Amino acid sequence: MIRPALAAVFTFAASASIACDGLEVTQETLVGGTICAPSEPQRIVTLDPYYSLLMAAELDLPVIGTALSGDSLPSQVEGVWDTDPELVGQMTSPDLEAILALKPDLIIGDAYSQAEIMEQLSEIAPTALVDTADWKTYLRTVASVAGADSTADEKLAAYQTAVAETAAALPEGATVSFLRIVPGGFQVYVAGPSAYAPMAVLTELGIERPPFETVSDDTVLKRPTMEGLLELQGDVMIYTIGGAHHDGDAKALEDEVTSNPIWQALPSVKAGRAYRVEPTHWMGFGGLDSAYEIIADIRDIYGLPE
Amino acid sequence: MTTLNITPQTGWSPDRKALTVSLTLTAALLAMALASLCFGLTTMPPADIWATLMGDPPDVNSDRILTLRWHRLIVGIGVGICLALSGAILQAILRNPLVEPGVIGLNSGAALAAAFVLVLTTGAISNASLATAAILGATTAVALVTALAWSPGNLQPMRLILAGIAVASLAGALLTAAMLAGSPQRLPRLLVWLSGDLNGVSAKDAHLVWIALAGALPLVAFVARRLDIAMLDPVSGAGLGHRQRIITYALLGLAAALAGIATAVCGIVVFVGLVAPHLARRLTGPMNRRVLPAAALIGALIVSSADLFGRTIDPPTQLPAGLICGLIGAPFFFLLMRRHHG
Amino acid sequence: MTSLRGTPLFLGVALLLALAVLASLSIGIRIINPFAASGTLDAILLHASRIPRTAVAVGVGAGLGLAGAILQTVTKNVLADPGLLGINAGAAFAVVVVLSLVDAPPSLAILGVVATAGALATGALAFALAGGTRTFEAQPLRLILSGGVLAIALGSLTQIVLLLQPGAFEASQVWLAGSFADRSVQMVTVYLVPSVILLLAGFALAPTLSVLLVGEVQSRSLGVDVGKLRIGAFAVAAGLCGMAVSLAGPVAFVGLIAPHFGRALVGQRLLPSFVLAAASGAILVLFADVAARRLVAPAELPVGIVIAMLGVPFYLILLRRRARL
Repeated sequence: MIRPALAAVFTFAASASIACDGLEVTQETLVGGTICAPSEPQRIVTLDPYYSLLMAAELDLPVIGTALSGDSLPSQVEGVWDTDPELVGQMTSPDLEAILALKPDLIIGDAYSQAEIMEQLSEIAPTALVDTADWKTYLRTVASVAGADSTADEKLAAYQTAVAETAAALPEGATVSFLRIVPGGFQVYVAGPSAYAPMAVLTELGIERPPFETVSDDTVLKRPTMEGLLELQGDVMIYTIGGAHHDGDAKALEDEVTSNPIWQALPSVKAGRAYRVEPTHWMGFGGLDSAYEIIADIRDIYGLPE
Repeated sequence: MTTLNITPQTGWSPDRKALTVSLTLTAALLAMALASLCFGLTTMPPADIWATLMGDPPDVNSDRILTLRWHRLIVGIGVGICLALSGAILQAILRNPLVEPGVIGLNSGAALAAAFVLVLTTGAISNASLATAAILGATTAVALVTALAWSPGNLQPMRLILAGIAVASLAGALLTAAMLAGSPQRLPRLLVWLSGDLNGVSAKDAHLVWIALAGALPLVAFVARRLDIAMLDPVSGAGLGHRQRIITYALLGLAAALAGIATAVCGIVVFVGLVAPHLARRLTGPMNRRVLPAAALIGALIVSSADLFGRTIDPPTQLPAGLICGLIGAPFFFLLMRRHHG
Repeated sequence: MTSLRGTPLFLGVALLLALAVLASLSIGIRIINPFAASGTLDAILLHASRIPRTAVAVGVGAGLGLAGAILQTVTKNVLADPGLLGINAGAAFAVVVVLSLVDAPPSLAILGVVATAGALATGALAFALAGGTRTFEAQPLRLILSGGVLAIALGSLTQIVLLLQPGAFEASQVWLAGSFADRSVQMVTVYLVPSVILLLAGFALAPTLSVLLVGEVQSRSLGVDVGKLRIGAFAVAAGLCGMAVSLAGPVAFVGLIAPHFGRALVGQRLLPSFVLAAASGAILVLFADVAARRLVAPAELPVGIVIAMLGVPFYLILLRRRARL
């Protein structure tokens, strides 16, 4: 119970609303609660290259600048706009001078990384910092501040249809364990209220997770050791190695793990049902495209037609 | 203690030499200040700065850009002064040149509290909450260290240092645990905070640090001479008795407060508290009444130049000043160490 | 060690170490029989996880304890810690840089080699920057100062890489926390012989280093080349730290406090105090690791936090008992 209490003490109080001549948006998922956005934004700057940028791209919003994480634009947004967005620095510390120079009319970012400069950002343009762990809510929030609600509704409805179709085709009571291998450790992304998006997609597909991988609190991931992997009792093991920025085969690291007798004692491995997936979407989730890729991987694993 | 042979022999009186050093450093700082206002993503020549100040900005954004740079500059200078003075005072009262504000648990306490608030809560965290948490964490850690090292007699430097290391280790381990336990999504801001970033400091931060300095600087000036007495006190516990003990603890509190304010405003800035007093001593000799002003100016120079460097080296990437301090400070340190040795 | 008082003390420590090893072999998420018959799940866990893990903990604990004891003797400063030589910072920097450059995460064994290279290069650089051989002979404390500054600079560089390459952060976070778990049997075997040689070399230094305690001038008159001795000691300590960081990642605090246990128990007699530093380092690390596995099972705590939590109270008791450490 300490977390909600702390959160209440430490989060921003909702600011009083003032007269707005554009689009007044009130969402619980916005830092500050209410922002006064332009009714048709023409010059959007996004502050992270993940949800904010990728979802803005999926919603066909006019993004003219973005902050990065790493040194290049994510491949998903190549060719989305006639001219690539200008870079305004790293998402952890975007250059305010660069944002000023772009003269944006709307700034979109995430609540965790950019709260530090919220004040200065708001002086430059209406700033929507989105505060939610749920990717579909994130998409809807971005759509609502940019006046793109109908596009979001349409795309999400199509997505729900695809989910229902696959869920119906999957075998009853399918259980899946999901594991990410990093040097020196393991990460198990769990199903729960704050689940990382790909895990939420699995849950929507009706896929069950073993008890160790299911939580009722805000846990996002667990870090078991090799011995702890014995808790991963799913019929199917889906594992990935490294992160979205990795494109090599990581063979040595994979061998180090898969040659271990403990790994070989896992039920899914014994049954020959351990599948390696690419980390691009599983670990670099960016919205609808990624969700469709994850559904495609699941269909592949269970032998459903594409 | 009198004449450690580390200053070049010039035949000048130490006071006159210290004055020259201070004037030179002040001139360097002024030059750095002007450069900080001129350079950034776009260069703003002094003429444009002047025009903007006179209410005739050459570009619609000139005013805002200048404000951003001005806040970074004065917060950077203030933070540098705070950390350098804090380090100099601690090195004097604890009689150990390896001491810096982190040694009394300050950084680790602040970092742990910040991590707790940033990583283990939900929702967006305001700067004020973060600063409050940092100050609370730093105060708790310093109080804990002092209590653990408490002895009935005078303050025993070695005990304080050892207790500080113990508390810092524990807090450091807890910080690692918090980072591993928290959601990965929430880590970037913590990483930046731990790096001492001046990007996004506001007028409020500037007020906080300079109001604190306005209170602290006269105190520091007042205690500078006492500090030399404290250093000359040959045996800890003996010497000048009860009065001296109170003064020593008061100085410890002052040093903690100075570094605590700096940390609250811009996160963890390493290096300055350790190195600025060293450099100052090499320039002015060991007496604290000469070391303190020089150290303060050097601290201000290090932080403000680190910030300028960090935001102009590869724009629009902003490298945090706290990290650049360590990078540009280290070569200087080795250079000086070498020159005065060989 | 020939004194009668010494024998029970060392027997007691040996017993405690044996107990710690046994605990480490049998206690984990599951409690297993350390003498399980092969083919059972217990035996798989024992061979694939517990034995290498215990071996790594013993090697790292003893290595860091001994390295700390050597450094504190040579520099005559009880604050000298392997971390202060910049060794952990150098290892972390090398690992993070490699992880930010590669297009796929490498195996743990490769990271170990990278870490050692970074650690030893940094140790050598600290040594050179402190003024090299001549200065080191005269002012060993200077080495600590330059090591400390180097550690800060490398730490800053590491953080910059992590900020600019978030992928490297994800990949290195676990390694940077330090751990004894999941090192493969093959990896542990490779390190066995060099570790034993380094430990023996460290113990062998003790009688000669004792000479330093009587003072420099006297040691020279006894025919000891103080400078060479200090450099040899530094090299062994750096080797031990490089081995430790390679196996387990950066593990703090052990190198600082284990020597204090040694001194508290046998005073300034170097050989017994070195042996006790190594043994208490191993014991501390083993018990901490066992606790780390059990406290939040089936998850684990980072072992560093348990080492600190076990070590700090002991350290503070020592601090209070001894007016001057």
